[in-house]
Amino acid sequence: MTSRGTTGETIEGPEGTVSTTRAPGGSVVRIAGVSHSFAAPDGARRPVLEGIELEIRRGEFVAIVGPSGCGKTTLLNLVAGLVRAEVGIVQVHGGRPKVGDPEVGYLFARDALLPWRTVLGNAELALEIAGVAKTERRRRAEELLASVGLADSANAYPAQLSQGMRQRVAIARTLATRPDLLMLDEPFSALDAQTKLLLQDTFSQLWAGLGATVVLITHDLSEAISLADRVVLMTARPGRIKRVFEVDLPRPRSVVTLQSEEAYHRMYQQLWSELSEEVVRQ
Amino acid sequence: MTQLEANLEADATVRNDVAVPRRLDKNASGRQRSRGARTSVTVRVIQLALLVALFGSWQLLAATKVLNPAFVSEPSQYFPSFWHGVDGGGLLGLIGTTLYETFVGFALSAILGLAGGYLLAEFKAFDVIIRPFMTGFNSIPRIALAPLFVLWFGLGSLSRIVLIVSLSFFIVAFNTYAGLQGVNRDHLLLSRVLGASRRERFFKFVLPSAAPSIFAGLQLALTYAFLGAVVGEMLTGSDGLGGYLALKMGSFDTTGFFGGLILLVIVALAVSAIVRALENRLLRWRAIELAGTQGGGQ
Repeated sequence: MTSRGTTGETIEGPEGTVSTTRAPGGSVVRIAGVSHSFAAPDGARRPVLEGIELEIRRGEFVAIVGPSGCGKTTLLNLVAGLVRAEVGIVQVHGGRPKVGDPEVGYLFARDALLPWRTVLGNAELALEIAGVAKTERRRRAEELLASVGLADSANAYPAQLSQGMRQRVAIARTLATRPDLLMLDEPFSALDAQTKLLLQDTFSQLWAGLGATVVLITHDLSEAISLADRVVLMTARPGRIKRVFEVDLPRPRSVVTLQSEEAYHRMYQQLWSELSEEVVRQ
Repeated sequence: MTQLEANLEADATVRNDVAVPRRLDKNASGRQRSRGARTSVTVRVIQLALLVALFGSWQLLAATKVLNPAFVSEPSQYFPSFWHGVDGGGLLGLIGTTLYETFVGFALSAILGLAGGYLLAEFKAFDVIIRPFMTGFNSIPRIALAPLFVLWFGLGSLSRIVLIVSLSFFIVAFNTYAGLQGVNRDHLLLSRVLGASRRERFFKFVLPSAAPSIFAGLQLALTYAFLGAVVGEMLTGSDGLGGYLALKMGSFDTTGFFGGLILLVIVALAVSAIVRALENRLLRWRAIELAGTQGGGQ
Protein backbone atom coordinates (compact mmCIF):
# COMPACT_ATOMS: atom_id res chain seq x y z
CA MET A 1 0.00 0.00 0.00
CA THR A 2 1.09 3.56 -0.51
CA SER A 3 1.93 5.61 2.49
CA ARG A 4 -0.68 8.05 3.55
CA GLY A 5 -1.65 10.37 6.33
CA THR A 6 -3.38 9.41 9.53
CA THR A 7 -6.44 11.50 8.84
CA GLY A 8 -8.38 8.57 7.52
CA GLU A 9 -8.42 9.32 3.83
CA THR A 10 -6.20 10.80 1.24
CA ILE A 11 -7.59 12.31 -1.86
CA GLU A 12 -5.56 12.20 -5.01
CA GLY A 13 -6.24 13.37 -8.50
CA PRO A 14 -6.48 10.64 -11.08
CA GLU A 15 -3.32 11.69 -12.92
CA GLY A 16 -1.26 11.64 -9.77
CA THR A 17 -2.39 8.18 -8.84
CA VAL A 18 -1.47 6.65 -12.14
CA SER A 19 2.14 7.69 -12.28
CA THR A 20 3.07 7.21 -8.66
CA THR A 21 1.48 3.93 -7.71
CA ARG A 22 3.82 1.24 -8.95
CA ALA A 23 3.95 -1.22 -6.12
CA PRO A 24 6.73 -3.84 -5.85
CA GLY A 25 4.55 -6.54 -7.38
CA GLY A 26 3.88 -4.34 -10.39
CA SER A 27 0.47 -3.57 -11.73
CA VAL A 28 -1.99 -6.33 -12.51
CA VAL A 29 -4.24 -4.07 -14.55
CA ARG A 30 -3.04 -1.10 -16.54
CA ILE A 31 -5.45 1.17 -18.33
CA ALA A 32 -3.81 4.03 -20.21
CA GLY A 33 -5.51 6.72 -22.26
CA VAL A 34 -8.58 4.61 -22.91
CA SER A 35 -11.59 6.05 -24.67
CA HIS A 36 -14.48 4.10 -26.05
CA SER A 37 -17.78 4.76 -27.80
CA PHE A 38 -20.83 2.86 -28.94
CA ALA A 39 -22.95 3.26 -32.04
CA ALA A 40 -26.18 5.11 -31.25
CA PRO A 41 -29.40 4.06 -33.01
CA ASP A 42 -29.06 7.05 -35.38
CA GLY A 43 -25.67 5.80 -36.53
CA ALA A 44 -23.59 8.38 -34.66
CA ARG A 45 -20.87 7.34 -32.21
CA ARG A 46 -21.74 7.95 -28.61
CA PRO A 47 -18.75 8.24 -26.27
CA VAL A 48 -18.99 6.16 -23.09
CA LEU A 49 -15.46 6.38 -21.72
CA GLU A 50 -12.97 9.20 -22.08
CA GLY A 51 -9.28 9.32 -21.19
CA ILE A 52 -9.29 6.65 -18.52
CA GLU A 53 -5.98 6.24 -16.70
CA LEU A 54 -5.85 3.62 -13.98
CA GLU A 55 -3.35 1.18 -12.60
CA ILE A 56 -4.29 -1.53 -10.17
CA ARG A 57 -1.56 -3.03 -8.05
CA ARG A 58 -1.15 -6.67 -7.14
CA GLY A 59 -3.37 -7.59 -4.21
CA GLU A 60 -5.25 -4.31 -4.30
CA PHE A 61 -9.01 -4.02 -3.91
CA VAL A 62 -10.37 -1.28 -6.14
CA ALA A 63 -14.01 -0.25 -6.27
CA ILE A 64 -15.39 1.73 -9.19
CA VAL A 65 -18.47 3.84 -8.54
CA GLY A 66 -20.36 6.27 -10.71
CA PRO A 67 -23.81 7.24 -11.91
CA SER A 68 -25.77 4.76 -14.03
CA GLY A 69 -24.62 4.64 -17.61
CA CYS A 70 -21.19 6.10 -16.86
CA GLY A 71 -19.44 3.18 -18.52
CA LYS A 72 -18.45 1.24 -15.40
CA THR A 73 -19.43 -2.08 -16.87
CA THR A 74 -17.85 -1.17 -20.21
CA LEU A 75 -14.64 -0.53 -18.33
CA LEU A 76 -14.88 -3.95 -16.72
CA ASN A 77 -15.62 -5.55 -20.10
CA LEU A 78 -12.51 -3.90 -21.51
CA VAL A 79 -10.39 -5.39 -18.75
CA ALA A 80 -12.15 -8.73 -19.24
CA GLY A 81 -11.29 -8.68 -22.92
CA LEU A 82 -14.96 -8.94 -23.85
CA VAL A 83 -14.67 -5.57 -25.61
CA ARG A 84 -11.60 -4.09 -27.33
CA ALA A 85 -10.80 -0.48 -26.51
CA GLU A 86 -11.11 1.90 -29.46
CA VAL A 87 -8.40 4.18 -28.16
CA GLY A 88 -5.69 3.51 -25.59
CA ILE A 89 -4.10 0.53 -23.92
CA VAL A 90 -5.58 -2.05 -21.59
CA GLN A 91 -3.22 -4.59 -20.10
CA VAL A 92 -3.78 -7.46 -17.69
CA HIS A 93 -0.72 -9.16 -16.25
CA GLY A 94 1.32 -7.17 -18.73
CA GLY A 95 -0.44 -8.50 -21.81
CA ARG A 96 -3.59 -7.97 -23.81
CA PRO A 97 -6.64 -9.14 -21.81
CA LYS A 98 -7.92 -12.46 -23.05
CA VAL A 99 -11.38 -13.89 -22.49
CA GLY A 100 -11.36 -17.18 -20.64
CA ASP A 101 -8.07 -16.56 -18.82
CA PRO A 102 -8.13 -18.98 -15.85
CA GLU A 103 -6.12 -16.43 -13.86
CA VAL A 104 -9.12 -14.11 -13.97
CA GLY A 105 -12.35 -14.82 -12.08
CA TYR A 106 -15.75 -13.19 -12.56
CA LEU A 107 -18.71 -12.65 -10.34
CA PHE A 108 -21.88 -11.08 -11.70
CA ALA A 109 -24.98 -9.64 -10.11
CA ARG A 110 -26.92 -12.63 -11.36
CA ASP A 111 -25.38 -15.87 -10.19
CA ALA A 112 -25.68 -17.64 -13.59
CA LEU A 113 -25.85 -21.00 -11.82
CA LEU A 114 -26.73 -23.89 -14.12
CA PRO A 115 -30.08 -25.20 -12.83
CA TRP A 116 -29.39 -28.73 -14.05
CA ARG A 117 -26.26 -29.05 -11.96
CA THR A 118 -26.17 -29.59 -8.24
CA VAL A 119 -24.47 -27.09 -5.97
CA LEU A 120 -21.30 -29.20 -6.13
CA GLY A 121 -21.57 -29.50 -9.91
CA ASN A 122 -21.84 -25.73 -10.21
CA ALA A 123 -18.91 -25.16 -7.90
CA GLU A 124 -16.86 -27.55 -10.06
CA LEU A 125 -17.81 -25.95 -13.37
CA ALA A 126 -14.91 -23.53 -13.76
CA LEU A 127 -12.41 -26.22 -12.73
CA GLU A 128 -13.94 -28.64 -15.21
CA ILE A 129 -13.49 -26.20 -18.06
CA ALA A 130 -9.98 -25.39 -16.87
CA GLY A 131 -9.24 -29.11 -17.26
CA VAL A 132 -8.60 -29.96 -13.61
CA ALA A 133 -8.72 -33.71 -12.90
CA LYS A 134 -11.92 -35.08 -11.43
CA THR A 135 -10.79 -35.98 -7.89
CA GLU A 136 -8.86 -32.75 -7.54
CA ARG A 137 -11.74 -30.55 -8.69
CA ARG A 138 -14.15 -32.34 -6.41
CA ARG A 139 -11.83 -31.82 -3.48
CA ARG A 140 -11.37 -28.13 -4.24
CA ALA A 141 -15.06 -27.52 -4.87
CA GLU A 142 -16.01 -29.20 -1.61
CA GLU A 143 -13.41 -27.19 0.25
CA LEU A 144 -14.74 -23.93 -1.17
CA LEU A 145 -18.35 -24.85 -0.52
CA ALA A 146 -17.38 -25.47 3.08
CA SER A 147 -15.70 -22.07 3.26
CA VAL A 148 -18.85 -20.33 2.03
CA GLY A 149 -20.92 -22.40 4.47
CA LEU A 150 -22.67 -24.68 1.98
CA ALA A 151 -21.02 -28.03 2.71
CA ASP A 152 -24.39 -29.50 3.66
CA SER A 153 -26.12 -28.38 0.49
CA ALA A 154 -23.65 -29.89 -1.99
CA ASN A 155 -26.26 -32.18 -3.50
CA ALA A 156 -29.10 -29.66 -3.63
CA TYR A 157 -30.15 -28.00 -6.88
CA PRO A 158 -29.96 -24.21 -7.28
CA ALA A 159 -33.76 -23.97 -7.29
CA GLN A 160 -33.72 -25.22 -3.70
CA LEU A 161 -31.51 -22.38 -2.49
CA SER A 162 -32.18 -18.84 -1.35
CA GLN A 163 -30.77 -15.95 -3.36
CA GLY A 164 -27.97 -15.47 -0.85
CA MET A 165 -27.03 -19.15 -0.92
CA ARG A 166 -27.03 -19.11 -4.72
CA GLN A 167 -24.61 -16.21 -4.77
CA ARG A 168 -22.42 -18.10 -2.30
CA VAL A 169 -22.26 -20.96 -4.79
CA ALA A 170 -21.29 -18.47 -7.49
CA ILE A 171 -18.53 -17.18 -5.20
CA ALA A 172 -17.30 -20.75 -4.70
CA ARG A 173 -17.36 -21.33 -8.47
CA THR A 174 -15.41 -18.12 -9.05
CA LEU A 175 -12.76 -18.76 -6.41
CA ALA A 176 -12.33 -22.46 -7.23
CA THR A 177 -9.77 -21.82 -9.97
CA ARG A 178 -7.77 -19.65 -7.55
CA PRO A 179 -7.80 -16.64 -9.82
CA ASP A 180 -5.24 -13.95 -9.34
CA LEU A 181 -7.56 -11.19 -10.50
CA LEU A 182 -11.22 -11.00 -9.54
CA MET A 183 -13.73 -8.94 -11.48
CA LEU A 184 -16.94 -8.24 -9.60
CA ASP A 185 -19.82 -6.63 -11.47
CA GLU A 186 -22.27 -5.52 -8.78
CA PRO A 187 -22.13 -8.98 -7.20
CA PHE A 188 -24.35 -8.16 -4.23
CA SER A 189 -26.86 -5.85 -5.90
CA ALA A 190 -29.53 -8.51 -6.42
CA LEU A 191 -29.65 -9.46 -2.75
CA ASP A 192 -31.89 -8.20 0.02
CA ALA A 193 -30.31 -5.79 2.50
CA GLN A 194 -29.53 -8.28 5.27
CA THR A 195 -28.19 -11.02 3.04
CA LYS A 196 -26.08 -8.41 1.31
CA LEU A 197 -24.35 -7.38 4.54
CA LEU A 198 -23.59 -10.99 5.44
CA LEU A 199 -22.25 -11.82 2.01
CA GLN A 200 -20.10 -8.71 1.87
CA ASP A 201 -18.47 -9.78 5.12
CA THR A 202 -18.05 -13.37 3.93
CA PHE A 203 -16.44 -12.17 0.74
CA SER A 204 -14.21 -9.72 2.57
CA GLN A 205 -12.93 -12.50 4.83
CA LEU A 206 -12.36 -14.94 1.99
CA TRP A 207 -10.51 -12.25 0.06
CA ALA A 208 -8.25 -11.57 3.02
CA GLY A 209 -7.05 -15.16 2.80
CA LEU A 210 -6.54 -15.09 -0.96
CA GLY A 211 -4.48 -12.05 -1.71
CA ALA A 212 -6.14 -11.68 -5.11
CA THR A 213 -6.46 -8.37 -6.88
CA VAL A 214 -10.08 -7.23 -7.05
CA VAL A 215 -11.96 -4.82 -9.29
CA LEU A 216 -15.45 -4.19 -7.94
CA ILE A 217 -18.12 -2.32 -9.86
CA THR A 218 -20.84 -1.08 -7.56
CA HIS A 219 -23.61 1.45 -7.01
CA ASP A 220 -23.38 1.04 -3.32
CA LEU A 221 -21.07 3.57 -1.67
CA SER A 222 -20.96 1.84 1.70
CA GLU A 223 -20.03 -1.38 -0.05
CA ALA A 224 -17.24 0.40 -1.92
CA ILE A 225 -15.82 2.04 1.20
CA SER A 226 -16.05 -0.98 3.44
CA LEU A 227 -14.47 -3.42 0.99
CA ALA A 228 -11.99 -1.45 -1.10
CA ASP A 229 -8.50 0.01 -0.69
CA ARG A 230 -9.29 2.63 -3.31
CA VAL A 231 -12.55 3.96 -4.61
CA VAL A 232 -12.53 5.29 -8.17
CA LEU A 233 -15.32 7.79 -8.75
CA MET A 234 -16.46 8.28 -12.33
CA THR A 235 -18.29 11.18 -13.93
CA ALA A 236 -21.59 10.98 -15.80
CA ARG A 237 -21.40 9.82 -19.39
CA PRO A 238 -18.99 9.96 -21.06
CA GLY A 239 -17.26 8.42 -18.07
CA ARG A 240 -14.03 9.97 -16.93
CA ILE A 241 -12.25 9.36 -13.65
CA LYS A 242 -13.31 12.24 -11.46
CA ARG A 243 -11.44 11.36 -8.34
CA VAL A 244 -9.70 8.48 -6.61
CA PHE A 245 -10.26 8.05 -2.87
CA GLU A 246 -7.85 6.07 -0.76
CA VAL A 247 -9.71 4.20 1.94
CA ASP A 248 -7.47 4.10 4.96
CA LEU A 249 -9.66 2.20 7.35
CA PRO A 250 -7.98 -0.61 9.30
CA ARG A 251 -8.55 -4.22 8.25
CA PRO A 252 -10.08 -6.62 8.93
CA ARG A 253 -13.18 -4.56 8.44
CA SER A 254 -16.77 -5.51 8.92
CA VAL A 255 -19.44 -3.75 6.94
CA VAL A 256 -21.61 -3.53 10.03
CA THR A 257 -19.07 -2.40 12.61
CA LEU A 258 -17.74 0.28 10.25
CA GLN A 259 -21.03 2.06 10.80
CA SER A 260 -19.71 3.34 14.10
CA GLU A 261 -16.47 4.75 12.61
CA GLU A 262 -16.43 8.46 12.10
CA ALA A 263 -13.88 8.23 9.27
CA TYR A 264 -16.23 5.96 7.40
CA HIS A 265 -19.04 8.49 7.56
CA ARG A 266 -16.83 11.37 6.50
CA MET A 267 -15.69 9.42 3.49
CA TYR A 268 -19.23 8.41 2.66
CA GLN A 269 -20.37 12.02 2.72
CA GLN A 270 -17.49 13.19 0.61
CA LEU A 271 -18.07 10.46 -1.95
CA TRP A 272 -21.75 11.13 -2.04
CA SER A 273 -21.42 14.88 -2.49
CA GLU A 274 -19.11 14.32 -5.44
CA LEU A 275 -21.21 11.53 -6.89
CA SER A 276 -24.50 13.39 -6.50
CA GLU A 277 -23.14 16.23 -8.68
CA GLU A 278 -22.72 13.65 -11.43
CA VAL A 279 -26.07 12.04 -10.87
CA VAL A 280 -27.77 15.44 -11.11
CA ARG A 281 -25.82 16.31 -14.27
CA GLN A 282 -27.32 13.39 -16.13
CA MET B 1 -12.97 -17.62 10.85
CA THR B 2 -15.22 -17.70 13.87
CA GLN B 3 -16.73 -14.49 12.71
CA LEU B 4 -17.34 -16.08 9.32
CA GLU B 5 -19.10 -18.99 10.95
CA ALA B 6 -21.22 -16.66 13.00
CA ASN B 7 -22.27 -14.77 9.95
CA LEU B 8 -23.09 -17.97 8.09
CA GLU B 9 -25.33 -18.95 10.91
CA ALA B 10 -26.96 -15.58 10.78
CA ASP B 11 -27.51 -16.03 7.06
CA ALA B 12 -29.25 -19.31 7.78
CA THR B 13 -31.66 -17.62 10.15
CA VAL B 14 -32.16 -14.62 7.91
CA ARG B 15 -33.23 -16.63 4.91
CA ASN B 16 -36.80 -16.87 6.00
CA ASP B 17 -37.70 -16.02 2.42
CA VAL B 18 -37.18 -19.53 1.14
CA ALA B 19 -38.43 -22.98 1.91
CA VAL B 20 -35.02 -24.62 1.58
CA PRO B 21 -34.35 -25.84 5.06
CA ARG B 22 -37.70 -27.56 5.04
CA ARG B 23 -37.08 -29.23 1.73
CA LEU B 24 -33.54 -30.26 2.56
CA ASP B 25 -34.53 -31.75 5.89
CA LYS B 26 -34.80 -35.50 5.43
CA ASN B 27 -37.40 -36.08 8.15
CA ALA B 28 -39.67 -33.41 6.82
CA SER B 29 -39.49 -34.71 3.27
CA GLY B 30 -40.25 -38.21 4.56
CA ARG B 31 -43.32 -36.90 6.27
CA GLN B 32 -44.37 -35.07 3.13
CA ARG B 33 -43.93 -38.22 1.10
CA SER B 34 -46.25 -40.22 3.34
CA ARG B 35 -48.84 -37.47 3.10
CA GLY B 36 -48.33 -37.53 -0.67
CA ALA B 37 -48.90 -41.28 -0.71
CA ARG B 38 -52.15 -40.87 1.20
CA THR B 39 -53.49 -38.22 -1.21
CA SER B 40 -52.53 -40.37 -4.17
CA VAL B 41 -54.53 -43.29 -2.70
CA THR B 42 -57.52 -40.98 -2.31
CA VAL B 43 -57.08 -39.78 -5.87
CA ARG B 44 -56.93 -43.33 -7.18
CA VAL B 45 -60.11 -44.29 -5.29
CA ILE B 46 -61.97 -41.31 -6.75
CA GLN B 47 -60.67 -42.09 -10.23
CA LEU B 48 -61.79 -45.71 -9.92
CA ALA B 49 -65.23 -44.57 -8.78
CA LEU B 50 -65.47 -42.29 -11.82
CA LEU B 51 -64.55 -45.17 -14.14
CA VAL B 52 -67.16 -47.39 -12.55
CA ALA B 53 -69.73 -44.60 -12.88
CA LEU B 54 -68.84 -44.07 -16.55
CA PHE B 55 -69.11 -47.70 -17.58
CA GLY B 56 -72.02 -48.37 -15.19
CA SER B 57 -74.13 -45.60 -16.63
CA TRP B 58 -73.11 -46.63 -20.16
CA GLN B 59 -74.27 -50.16 -19.40
CA LEU B 60 -77.49 -48.90 -17.85
CA LEU B 61 -78.34 -46.53 -20.72
CA ALA B 62 -77.60 -49.20 -23.34
CA ALA B 63 -79.48 -51.98 -21.49
CA THR B 64 -82.55 -49.76 -21.07
CA LYS B 65 -82.32 -48.77 -24.75
CA VAL B 66 -82.07 -45.09 -23.92
CA LEU B 67 -79.00 -45.25 -26.15
CA ASN B 68 -79.14 -47.54 -29.15
CA PRO B 69 -76.78 -50.51 -28.43
CA ALA B 70 -76.20 -50.88 -32.15
CA PHE B 71 -74.49 -47.49 -32.09
CA VAL B 72 -72.79 -47.48 -28.69
CA SER B 73 -72.53 -51.23 -27.95
CA GLU B 74 -72.35 -51.95 -24.21
CA PRO B 75 -69.55 -52.61 -21.73
CA SER B 76 -70.75 -56.12 -20.92
CA GLN B 77 -70.16 -56.96 -24.58
CA TYR B 78 -67.10 -55.01 -25.63
CA PHE B 79 -64.99 -55.87 -22.58
CA PRO B 80 -65.28 -59.62 -23.36
CA SER B 81 -64.68 -58.81 -27.02
CA PHE B 82 -61.50 -56.97 -26.01
CA TRP B 83 -60.43 -59.90 -23.87
CA HIS B 84 -61.05 -62.50 -26.56
CA GLY B 85 -59.17 -60.34 -29.02
CA VAL B 86 -56.15 -60.16 -26.75
CA ASP B 87 -56.36 -63.78 -25.64
CA GLY B 88 -55.62 -65.51 -28.91
CA GLY B 89 -57.87 -63.37 -31.11
CA GLY B 90 -55.02 -61.71 -32.98
CA LEU B 91 -55.31 -58.21 -31.44
CA LEU B 92 -51.80 -58.46 -30.03
CA GLY B 93 -50.34 -59.13 -33.45
CA LEU B 94 -52.22 -56.14 -34.83
CA ILE B 95 -51.10 -53.78 -32.08
CA GLY B 96 -47.58 -55.15 -32.67
CA THR B 97 -47.71 -53.89 -36.23
CA THR B 98 -49.04 -50.51 -35.08
CA LEU B 99 -46.34 -50.17 -32.43
CA TYR B 100 -43.65 -51.18 -34.92
CA GLU B 101 -44.74 -48.41 -37.29
CA THR B 102 -45.05 -45.95 -34.41
CA PHE B 103 -41.56 -46.59 -33.05
CA VAL B 104 -39.75 -46.77 -36.37
CA GLY B 105 -41.48 -43.58 -37.50
CA PHE B 106 -40.79 -41.92 -34.17
CA ALA B 107 -37.13 -42.95 -34.12
CA LEU B 108 -36.59 -41.58 -37.63
CA SER B 109 -38.41 -38.35 -36.72
CA ALA B 110 -36.33 -38.01 -33.58
CA ILE B 111 -32.99 -38.51 -35.34
CA LEU B 112 -33.85 -36.28 -38.30
CA GLY B 113 -35.62 -33.71 -36.10
CA LEU B 114 -32.72 -33.39 -33.67
CA ALA B 115 -30.29 -33.00 -36.55
CA GLY B 116 -32.58 -30.52 -38.31
CA GLY B 117 -33.14 -28.46 -35.17
CA TYR B 118 -29.41 -28.40 -34.52
CA LEU B 119 -28.64 -27.21 -38.05
CA LEU B 120 -31.30 -24.48 -37.83
CA ALA B 121 -29.98 -23.24 -34.50
CA GLU B 122 -26.30 -23.49 -35.31
CA PHE B 123 -26.11 -22.30 -38.93
CA LYS B 124 -27.66 -18.96 -39.72
CA ALA B 125 -27.73 -19.59 -43.48
CA PHE B 126 -29.58 -22.85 -42.99
CA ASP B 127 -32.09 -21.10 -40.76
CA VAL B 128 -32.71 -18.25 -43.20
CA ILE B 129 -32.94 -20.38 -46.33
CA ILE B 130 -34.58 -23.59 -45.14
CA ARG B 131 -36.88 -22.62 -42.28
CA PRO B 132 -39.55 -20.91 -44.44
CA PHE B 133 -39.85 -24.15 -46.44
CA MET B 134 -40.19 -26.15 -43.25
CA THR B 135 -42.82 -23.79 -41.87
CA GLY B 136 -44.69 -23.99 -45.16
CA PHE B 137 -44.65 -27.76 -45.33
CA ASN B 138 -45.60 -28.01 -41.67
CA SER B 139 -48.74 -25.96 -42.33
CA ILE B 140 -50.10 -28.58 -44.76
CA PRO B 141 -52.55 -30.90 -43.01
CA ARG B 142 -50.43 -34.03 -43.47
CA ILE B 143 -53.33 -36.43 -42.97
CA ALA B 144 -54.61 -35.18 -46.31
CA LEU B 145 -51.39 -36.41 -47.88
CA ALA B 146 -51.88 -39.93 -46.55
CA PRO B 147 -53.55 -41.24 -49.75
CA LEU B 148 -50.63 -39.83 -51.73
CA PHE B 149 -48.18 -41.66 -49.49
CA VAL B 150 -50.15 -44.88 -50.05
CA LEU B 151 -49.91 -44.31 -53.80
CA TRP B 152 -46.16 -43.74 -53.58
CA PHE B 153 -45.16 -46.21 -50.89
CA GLY B 154 -47.82 -48.90 -51.09
CA LEU B 155 -50.31 -50.39 -48.66
CA GLY B 156 -47.65 -51.69 -46.25
CA SER B 157 -46.06 -50.15 -43.19
CA LEU B 158 -43.74 -47.92 -45.21
CA SER B 159 -46.49 -45.48 -46.20
CA ARG B 160 -47.48 -45.13 -42.51
CA ILE B 161 -43.88 -44.57 -41.45
CA VAL B 162 -43.56 -41.81 -44.06
CA LEU B 163 -46.78 -40.26 -42.81
CA ILE B 164 -45.48 -40.35 -39.22
CA VAL B 165 -42.17 -38.75 -40.19
CA SER B 166 -44.02 -36.04 -42.12
CA LEU B 167 -45.93 -35.25 -38.91
CA SER B 168 -43.35 -35.78 -36.16
CA PHE B 169 -40.15 -34.55 -37.76
CA PHE B 170 -41.24 -30.91 -37.64
CA ILE B 171 -42.33 -31.12 -34.03
CA VAL B 172 -38.94 -32.43 -32.93
CA ALA B 173 -37.02 -30.05 -35.21
CA PHE B 174 -38.85 -26.89 -34.11
CA ASN B 175 -38.73 -27.80 -30.42
CA THR B 176 -35.03 -28.59 -30.65
CA TYR B 177 -34.45 -25.33 -32.48
CA ALA B 178 -36.40 -23.33 -29.90
CA GLY B 179 -34.59 -25.06 -27.04
CA LEU B 180 -31.15 -24.44 -28.48
CA GLN B 181 -32.04 -20.81 -29.17
CA GLY B 182 -33.42 -20.17 -25.74
CA VAL B 183 -30.18 -20.43 -23.82
CA ASN B 184 -29.89 -18.04 -20.91
CA ARG B 185 -27.63 -15.13 -21.89
CA ASP B 186 -25.97 -15.16 -18.49
CA HIS B 187 -24.98 -18.78 -19.06
CA LEU B 188 -23.48 -17.92 -22.43
CA LEU B 189 -21.52 -15.06 -20.91
CA LEU B 190 -20.32 -17.41 -18.18
CA SER B 191 -19.21 -19.98 -20.76
CA ARG B 192 -17.23 -17.23 -22.50
CA VAL B 193 -15.47 -15.90 -19.43
CA LEU B 194 -14.67 -19.41 -18.23
CA GLY B 195 -12.98 -20.02 -21.56
CA ALA B 196 -15.25 -22.88 -22.68
CA SER B 197 -14.49 -24.34 -26.10
CA ARG B 198 -17.24 -24.49 -28.74
CA ARG B 199 -17.77 -28.13 -27.88
CA GLU B 200 -17.92 -27.47 -24.13
CA ARG B 201 -20.29 -24.58 -24.67
CA PHE B 202 -22.65 -26.87 -26.57
CA PHE B 203 -22.51 -29.87 -24.26
CA LYS B 204 -22.24 -28.14 -20.88
CA PHE B 205 -24.41 -25.06 -21.44
CA VAL B 206 -26.59 -25.16 -24.55
CA LEU B 207 -27.76 -28.77 -24.75
CA PRO B 208 -28.74 -29.22 -21.07
CA SER B 209 -30.68 -25.97 -21.18
CA ALA B 210 -32.49 -27.13 -24.33
CA ALA B 211 -33.26 -30.56 -22.84
CA PRO B 212 -36.73 -29.74 -21.43
CA SER B 213 -37.89 -28.24 -24.71
CA ILE B 214 -36.41 -31.12 -26.73
CA PHE B 215 -38.04 -33.61 -24.41
CA ALA B 216 -41.42 -31.89 -24.74
CA GLY B 217 -41.02 -32.10 -28.51
CA LEU B 218 -40.20 -35.80 -28.39
CA GLN B 219 -43.22 -36.48 -26.20
CA LEU B 220 -45.55 -34.70 -28.58
CA ALA B 221 -43.90 -36.38 -31.56
CA LEU B 222 -44.57 -39.77 -30.02
CA THR B 223 -48.25 -38.92 -29.63
CA TYR B 224 -48.40 -37.84 -33.26
CA ALA B 225 -46.51 -40.97 -34.35
CA PHE B 226 -49.16 -43.11 -32.70
CA LEU B 227 -51.89 -41.04 -34.30
CA GLY B 228 -50.21 -41.26 -37.71
CA ALA B 229 -49.89 -45.03 -37.49
CA VAL B 230 -53.52 -45.62 -36.52
CA VAL B 231 -55.00 -43.11 -38.98
CA GLY B 232 -52.77 -44.41 -41.79
CA GLU B 233 -53.90 -47.97 -41.09
CA MET B 234 -57.56 -46.95 -40.97
CA LEU B 235 -57.18 -45.31 -44.35
CA THR B 236 -55.83 -48.37 -46.09
CA GLY B 237 -57.89 -50.64 -43.86
CA SER B 238 -55.40 -53.41 -44.34
CA ASP B 239 -53.14 -53.78 -41.38
CA GLY B 240 -52.55 -53.05 -37.69
CA LEU B 241 -55.04 -52.00 -35.07
CA GLY B 242 -56.19 -49.08 -37.22
CA GLY B 243 -57.06 -51.51 -39.99
CA TYR B 244 -58.94 -53.65 -37.51
CA LEU B 245 -60.94 -50.65 -36.27
CA ALA B 246 -61.77 -49.58 -39.83
CA LEU B 247 -62.87 -53.12 -40.65
CA LYS B 248 -65.13 -53.35 -37.57
CA MET B 249 -66.65 -49.95 -38.31
CA GLY B 250 -67.19 -50.90 -41.94
CA SER B 251 -69.12 -53.98 -40.89
CA PHE B 252 -71.06 -51.99 -38.29
CA ASP B 253 -69.57 -54.10 -35.47
CA THR B 254 -69.45 -51.44 -32.73
CA THR B 255 -68.70 -54.07 -30.09
CA GLY B 256 -65.55 -55.15 -31.93
CA PHE B 257 -64.68 -51.49 -32.53
CA PHE B 258 -64.85 -50.55 -28.84
CA GLY B 259 -62.98 -53.73 -27.92
CA GLY B 260 -60.10 -52.63 -30.15
CA LEU B 261 -60.33 -49.09 -28.84
CA ILE B 262 -59.78 -50.32 -25.25
CA LEU B 263 -56.49 -51.91 -26.28
CA LEU B 264 -55.49 -48.69 -28.03
CA VAL B 265 -56.18 -46.63 -24.91
CA ILE B 266 -54.27 -49.04 -22.65
CA VAL B 267 -51.22 -49.06 -24.93
CA ALA B 268 -51.25 -45.28 -25.32
CA LEU B 269 -51.45 -44.80 -21.54
CA ALA B 270 -48.61 -47.28 -20.98
CA VAL B 271 -46.37 -45.55 -23.51
CA SER B 272 -47.01 -42.11 -22.04
CA ALA B 273 -46.36 -43.45 -18.51
CA ILE B 274 -42.99 -44.80 -19.65
CA VAL B 275 -42.10 -41.47 -21.24
CA ARG B 276 -43.11 -39.59 -18.10
CA ALA B 277 -41.02 -41.89 -15.90
CA LEU B 278 -38.09 -41.30 -18.23
CA GLU B 279 -38.60 -37.56 -18.03
CA ASN B 280 -38.69 -37.58 -14.22
CA ARG B 281 -35.43 -39.48 -14.24
CA LEU B 282 -33.59 -37.42 -16.83
CA LEU B 283 -34.96 -34.00 -15.90
CA ARG B 284 -35.17 -34.26 -12.14
CA TRP B 285 -33.73 -30.77 -11.77
CA ARG B 286 -36.58 -29.41 -13.84
CA ALA B 287 -39.19 -30.98 -11.58
CA ILE B 288 -37.44 -29.51 -8.55
CA GLU B 289 -37.30 -26.12 -10.22
CA LEU B 290 -41.00 -26.15 -11.05
CA ALA B 291 -41.90 -27.32 -7.55
CA GLY B 292 -39.68 -24.58 -6.14
CA THR B 293 -41.56 -21.80 -7.90
CA GLN B 294 -44.74 -22.86 -6.12
CA GLY B 295 -43.16 -23.27 -2.70
CA GLY B 296 -42.93 -19.60 -1.72
CA GLY B 297 -39.50 -18.11 -2.30
CA GLN B 298 -39.29 -14.88 -4.22
